[in-house]
Parts: sequence; structure tokens; C-alpha cells
Amino acid sequence: MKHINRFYSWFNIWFVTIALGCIILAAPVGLVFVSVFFPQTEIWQHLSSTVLPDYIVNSLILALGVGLLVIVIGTVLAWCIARYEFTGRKQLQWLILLPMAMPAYIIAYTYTGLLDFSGPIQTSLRDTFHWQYGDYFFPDIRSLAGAIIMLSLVLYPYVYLLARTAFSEQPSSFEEVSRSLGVPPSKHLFKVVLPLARPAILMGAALAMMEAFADYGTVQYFGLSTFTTGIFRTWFGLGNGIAAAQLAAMLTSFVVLLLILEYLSRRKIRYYFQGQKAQQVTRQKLTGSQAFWVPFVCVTPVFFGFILPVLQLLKWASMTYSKQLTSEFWLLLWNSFYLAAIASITAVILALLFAYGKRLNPIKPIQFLVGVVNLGYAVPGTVIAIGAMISLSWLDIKINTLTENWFDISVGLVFSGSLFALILVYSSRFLAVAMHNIDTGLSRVKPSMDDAARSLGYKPLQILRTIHVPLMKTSVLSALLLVFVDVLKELPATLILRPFNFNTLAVRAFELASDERLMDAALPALAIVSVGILPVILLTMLMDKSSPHSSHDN
Amino acid sequence: MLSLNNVSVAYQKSEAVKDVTFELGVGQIGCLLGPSGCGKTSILRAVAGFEKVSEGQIFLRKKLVSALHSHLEPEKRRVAVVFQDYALFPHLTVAQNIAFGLHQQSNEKKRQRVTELLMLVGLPDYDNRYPHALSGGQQQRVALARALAAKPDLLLLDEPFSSLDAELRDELAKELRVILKHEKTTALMVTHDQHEAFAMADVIGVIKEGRLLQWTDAYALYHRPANRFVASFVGDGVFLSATIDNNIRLNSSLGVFPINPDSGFKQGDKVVFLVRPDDIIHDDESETLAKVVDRSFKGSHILYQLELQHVGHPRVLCLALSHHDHQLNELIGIRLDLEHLIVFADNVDDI
Repeated sequence: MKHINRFYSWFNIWFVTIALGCIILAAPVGLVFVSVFFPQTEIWQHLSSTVLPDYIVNSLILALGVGLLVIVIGTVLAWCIARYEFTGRKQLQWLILLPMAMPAYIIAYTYTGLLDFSGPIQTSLRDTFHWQYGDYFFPDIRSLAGAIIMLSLVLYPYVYLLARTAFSEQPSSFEEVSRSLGVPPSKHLFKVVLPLARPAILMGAALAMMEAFADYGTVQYFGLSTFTTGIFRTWFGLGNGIAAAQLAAMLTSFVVLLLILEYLSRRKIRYYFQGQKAQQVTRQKLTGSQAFWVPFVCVTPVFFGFILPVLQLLKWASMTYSKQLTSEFWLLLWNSFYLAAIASITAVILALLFAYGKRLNPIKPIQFLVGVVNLGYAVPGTVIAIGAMISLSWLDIKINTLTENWFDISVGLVFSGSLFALILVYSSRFLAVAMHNIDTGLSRVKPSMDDAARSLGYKPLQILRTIHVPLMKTSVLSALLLVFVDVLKELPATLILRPFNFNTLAVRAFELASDERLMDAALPALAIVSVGILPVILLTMLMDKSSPHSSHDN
Repeated sequence: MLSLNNVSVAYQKSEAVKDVTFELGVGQIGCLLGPSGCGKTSILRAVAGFEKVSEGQIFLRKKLVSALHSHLEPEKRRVAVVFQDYALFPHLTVAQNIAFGLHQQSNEKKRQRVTELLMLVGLPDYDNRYPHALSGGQQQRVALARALAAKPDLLLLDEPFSSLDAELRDELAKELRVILKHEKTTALMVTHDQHEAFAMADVIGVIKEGRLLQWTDAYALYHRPANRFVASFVGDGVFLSATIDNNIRLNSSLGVFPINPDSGFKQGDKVVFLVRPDDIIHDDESETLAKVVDRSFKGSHILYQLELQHVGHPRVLCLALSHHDHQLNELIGIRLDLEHLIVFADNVDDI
């Protein structure tokens, strides 16, 4: 009897809704793993004897290379900004984040244009030194090393953001302890400062490496064989969806390792920084040549990761805009806008549902389900898209068989051929972004506030209107904005799942660049980048608000 | 061991410490006592070498370490600090934390010293724990052990008990004193809590707005305060006004009392004198009556607030045994039992 009661107590409408939502969102990725049980022996023999080793090795080198490079760039920047005071530091603080607005495939094709044989750099080199073709060596940007550099230039802010917090949150008393105990600064750096920042740095690197594994645009444009390009080839070239899904499952298991690294780092950060709100380190004022070198070092990544490519894009766009600004471009803009808008609203509504469900029903099964779905950010867009494609087309076939048998009509590809597929994939991949913001907002509305309002005679709906809405407004808005921009930039899933003849800015920019029409690609690319700046501004504003005011307290 | 000579410390604009002079002998425990924001921590930081002095000199072992144009870096001072937040390194174990300041010693010696210190602070077998697994009191003891490990010449403690439960404080203060005396450590601590100061210190200095008002032991501080601020900051008490009569005696509403003829007061001077709760004796025989306006039950005693029945209706505190149970607005007899008078000129600027 007791057993049944307990069952009913958590088996309610919230649980059913949330469970259903979670299962739908997780289904594509789940299906990718189910594909493992349908061995495609022939194709795998072919793959493993030809391209599979390349996929594995290249993807690993790419991810590790990006990991190392973002650690170097991000940590150095974070150290300079957190520990030194110099002119321009305030401006650099947000400048450094700008490359986040730049999708990797855009920077990749911009640099290709810049560094090509006919590009401005090589041309001016030849003109200056009167060289001819073959007289000199020039590194090829369209290589694995090039891809590592391109991705690192836009992904280093992950490490920078986390490391900077770690450096500036170390209480100044740590340094004073070392000094009063006669410990030299170098020992303090290697025994205290860096070990304490290590989990944050690794967490940032893990996030950047996930992006590197997920990247499709850059590696495809550079003609590299990695998992993501391999999945596309197996699917569209060899026409084997199940084998593609199996490759996707393999790729996802690499990402799971990174997830574990991220999880362990996050836990460590929590231990290291629990309840410390002591006085923070005062930044050291720079003088002499250092006052020149440090800002110079800080500006370099943002120059190459944002300023230079944007200037190049502006130049191209200024040459082509007159023939580009046609109805086709406006349609592109409108398509991208409403797709991103629908996706972000869907993701935020789901996030609100999950967040409130977790709060009203704080039971293990719901927390577990929501936690699992929250991992979608780690799964490459290609993987989710493959899973969605397979499951939805299966569903469509079944529906069509049913309707044909019963009503003698064919309804067509209602799921796999419509925007539904895209919205599902975006929601599943970017739910975590929305959830993070909504959870932060909801944590401001303490449960005791609800209780207080109820005891003062408010009804639940009134509480929602007078307490929750005002307190949650900014979180919901920033969740909408962040998902919107992420959807706008997303490439591989959109490429796979977009309905026939449906183009977005990202797809068009990528297609034009792939067709060697770099100049024509500049305008849609610039449109993406300029919208991408919005979340950077938002992030800067949030950081300014949360930065504690240092005070001289006795 | 430590001496400060007319020390001032200034931040960008404001002067946090003004003209402070005191001396601390070998093995003594000194305490700087004052309300928050009074500059006591700045003095501590100047002694440690984290802040430079803007005036005056600081000497350690008779050696000049701080003056306007000479500043010995903190790492060369052999002064250890126990911080308010303990500042234990979260990624190091208890043993690694304690050994952090032991340089150029063999691992064997380090291990020996760590074990010795863990015994001393009462945490044997805790060497492999991490700080986050310790309670507040345990963290404090590890921070103390780390500071003491290299046998510093001087130990500084910044509000060492402020992040602990009130119940733990007294106990730990006594323990800490035993440990410091055992290690024969010279120590200077900072606190805003007089009970901590009384429990720990040999010498106490009261600081107000960056100035050292008095530097003496606890008994003298309580019974011979140098001015009205010290008198009211240390212990409870109320100032009653009085005048000096023609026999150079103190004439007050509670009676006439002789004062020290060397005190320099003249006939007709307006003065105030300090009445502590234990100076007012509840006496049913007495003809002086006072009205009970507030009472707080303290178990063995009741602390009454009484309103005197003459002009101005001044209020005094009275600590009576708890079976003398009187209700609000009741009139009770009191008697003033002063061992010696603490008298100051009635000068508002002095408060």
C-alpha cells in the first residue's frame, strides 16, 4: 500500500510531461547509439582499411592541438588581465571576447582568401621581393595545423573566461601567506597559483575541444578527413545512414571522455573556491617596457581572431554588396531570423518547463532526466542531426504507410522534411544554454519567497506574475538571445536537415565559400558575425555587474 | 622584540594609522582592540610588511624593518601571519600546508616538524586530509600550525576567532594561549572582541580612529581607563555627571565621594564618573530609590537598568543576584559601592 502511494506521489503530470520532453530530445542521440547493434560489416571493413584511421588520428590531433593552443592563449591572456593594471585593460577585457562572435568556418575561409597565392599577403610579398611562383615557401593554411590555429583563434575565450575568474578569485591572503613564510614568487606561482587555476583551465580546454570535435565547416572547407566530414561522406557518399550513425557514436564516445574531464574539473573548482569571499588580489601596475609588451600580447589574439578577418570581410562586402543586396539576401535573412526565433523560443519554453518541474518536484528521476538532456551541448551537431534524420524519416515512412492504408492519402515527410527536424535538433543541442540561464534566474527566486507570498494571501498565478516574472525577465531574455545566436551560427545540422530549397545565412556563406566565391560569401558572413557580437556585449555587461567592488576594509 | 615608534600608515588619501607607539617583549602576547575600521588591521599589515609606513619606524629584534624610505620585504622579516579567513591552500593536504613554509630542510626533518605541530594543535592523524574536510576550528589550528612551523620571531593573528561559533571562541582562545606560551612565541593579535583580548593577551592596546589610546594589561584597562572611550569600550558602564565641590570632592546624585587630590580638578569643574554594573549594589535598606526600566535575566544574576529619581533621570546598570526578582516600574533601593573613582572632565569631544 505504502509502495503504491509513493509511486503516485511522483508519478504526476509534471513527471509525465518532463519525461516525454526529455525522451523526445534525447531520442536522436539515443538512436545513434542503438545503431551500434546493426553491424555494417562490409562498409566497416572498407572504412577501417581506408579512411577510418585518418578520421581518428586527424580528429584527435585537431582536438588536442586546439586544446593545447587555447590553454596557452587563454591562460596568458587571463593572467595579464587578472594580475596587471595597464592602459587599455578595461577595453581589452571585452575586446578579448570578440572572437566568440566569429564562427570558425568564416574565419577559415577569410584566412584562405588572405593567405592564398592570389591573396593580398602573397601578392605584396611577390611585389616587394620580385619573387615568382615557386621562388619561396609559404605555409598552406588549408592543413591540419591551419585548422588548429583557426579553431583556437575563436575558441580561446572559453579558457580565458574561466582562467581569469580562477586567477582573480584567489584571495590576496594566499600570496601574503607565501610572502610571510619566505616563499619565493616562482615557487608560489607553480605551487599555488597554477595548481589552483588548473581545473578551470582544463574545463575551458575541454569545452573548446568539444567544439573542435564538433567542427564541420572548417575541416570540410580545408578538405581534411575527420569524424564529422567522414560522417557526411558515409551518409551522402556511400549512402549508408547506419554506418554514419555508428561513426557518430564513435565520435560521441570521444566527447564523453571530455565530458568526464569537464565534470571532474567542475567538482574540483567547487572544492577549491567554497565560501571564499576574501579580499582579492590587487593588480600590479606595469611600468617601463612591460607597459608596452603586455597590452601588445593581449591584443594579438583578438587582432588575428577578429579584427583582421572582419576588416577583410568588410573589404569584400564593400566590393560586392551592390549585386548581393537582392531579394535573395533578404529572404536569407528572414529565413535565418525566423528559424532562430522559433528555435530559441522552443528551447526556452522547454528550459522553463524543466526548471520549474525540477523545482516543484525535486525528485531524483526528474533531476536525472533533465541532467541527461542537459548534456546535449557536448554532442556534435552532426551526430544529433544524423540521429534525428534516421528516426524522423522512419517515423514519416510509418505514418505514410498508415495513412495510405487507411485513408489512401500520403501526407509526405511531415517530420523529417520540415522545420520540425531542425527545431528538434537545435532544442536538443542548445537546451543547456537556455537551462543555464533559466536556472541562474530561478535561483534568485528563493523557495521561501513563494512561501512568504502564499502566507500573505497570494494565489499561485499572482505569485508567478508579481514575483517570478519580474525576477526571471532578464534570464529569460538572455537565454533567448544566446540560443538565437547559437542557432544562427550552427552549420552542420542545418546542412543535413534543412528542408529542400531552404537556405540560411550560415548555409549560404558556407556554400559560397566552398564554391570559391569568397567575396560573395562576405555579406552573409558579416551578418552572422554582427549578430554574434550581441551575446558578447551581454556577457561583458553581466561580468561588469558581478565584479565585486574592491574596498579597503580593516 | 617588536617596537613601533610613532608609526603612521596612509592609503591613497586617508591616514589609517596615526602616530602609534608601543613595544612588545619576547614571549609576550599583545592584542590590538578596537571597533571595526579603526585601523588595527593596518597596524598588523604594516608590521608584517604588506603595507609601507608613511611615518615613524618599526623595529624587529632591534633591527629597523620599516621606515619612510626603507622597507624590508615581508618574506625577509620572519613574521608569520594567521589570516582571518585562514587562507589554507585548498589543493594541498594539511601536512603539505603546514610544510609549505619549511625550506631547505630534509624531508625527514619536515615530516618530524609537521607531526610535532599536529600533536601540538591537537590534530594528530589529520595530515592527509584536505582543508575543505575540516571544521572551522580545525582549519584555524592548521593555519596556526603552518604559521608556527618555521619558528617565526613574531606571530601575527588577524581576528583569529571571527569566523568561529561563539561557543568555540572562548575554548579556542585559551587553547591558543597555551600553545603560544608552549612554543614561547611572541604574538600580536587583532580583535574587536574584548573577551578574546582578555582571554589571550598579556598586553592590550585600544585603538580608535587609527590612534593607540592606551597600551596596558587587561586589569588596568578595566579599572584605570585612560579616557572616556576606553572606559566605555571596555566593559559595561554608564557615565554620570557630577561637580567638584569646595573640598575637592565629587558631588553627585548618588552621594559625595573623595577623589584623588592629584587629579587636577578644581572647584566647580563639571565632571563625569564611571559607574559599572557591579558598582551599584541592590540594597533594600537604602534610601536612594531607582525605578526598574528594563531587566534581563542572566541565570545567576539579573542585569537591571534603573532610572534614578532625580533631575535628568539618568539611567544606570545594576547587576543583582537573581533571587532579588523585581518587576518593571518597581522602585528598589540601591547603594553605590565604588572602590575607586574613574573621573573625566565632562568634555563632549572626548567620547
